[in-house]
Amino acid sequence: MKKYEYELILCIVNEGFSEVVMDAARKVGAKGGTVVNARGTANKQAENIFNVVIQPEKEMVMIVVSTDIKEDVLHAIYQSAGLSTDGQGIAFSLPVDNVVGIKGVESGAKEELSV
Amino acid sequence: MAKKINGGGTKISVKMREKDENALKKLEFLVVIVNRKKYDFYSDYIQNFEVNMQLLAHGRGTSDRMTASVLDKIGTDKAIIFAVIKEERVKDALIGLEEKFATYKDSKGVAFTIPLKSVIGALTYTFLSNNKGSKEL
Repeated sequence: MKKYEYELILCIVNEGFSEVVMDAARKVGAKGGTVVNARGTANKQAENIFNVVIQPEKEMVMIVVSTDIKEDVLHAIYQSAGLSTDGQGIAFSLPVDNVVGIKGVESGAKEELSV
Repeated sequence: MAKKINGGGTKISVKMREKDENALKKLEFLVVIVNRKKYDFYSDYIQNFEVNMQLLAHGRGTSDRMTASVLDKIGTDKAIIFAVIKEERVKDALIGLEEKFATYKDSKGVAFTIPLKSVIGALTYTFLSNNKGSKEL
């Protein structure tokens, strides 16, 4: 199985909690991220079953991190802004094939482009 | 790749060449994050790499309070460009983007690719891969 050096962490939280996510991620080594406003669609039935109210206005936080710290970042986000908190956040990661523009990757980018 | 087989002549080599050209190309999901003012420039630029579809989203960068007070003047508004690109064009596109990030004023950005596993619809695939020459998939 191919090993990826970087991964994209996507965290979807209630509006206003992106700073909480970023603070938690920075504490374990993440550098920075980008926040996109979005609107969530919730399953009414699921809301009733789990006895929760899903706030529709969301922020999606995108953070590119090294695979070495991915688990730490996901764990930190879960602790500070997870589903059981006011942020009601969910976070997951996607593999990143190639990346440029991140400090520390610039000089080696050409070698790291392994297409 | 054309292979000549004794007795087969050029017919087999031409067929193999056509087969290679029409072979399904892998696709990747390209994400480019730049300052909002530079969106037009980068959107035009990546079209040079056979990108037929782009999606624009507005976002903002994250910074701690100290950096934010400095960035107040520059602003943290971002444009996020989502696009689909052929795997064989990724290297050229990212090298080009990295050059642009380093060359032009206020043009710093980040770009990365995510492997795209499946696409539904032959026409969708043809469009996303810019496969003008395919007769059948």
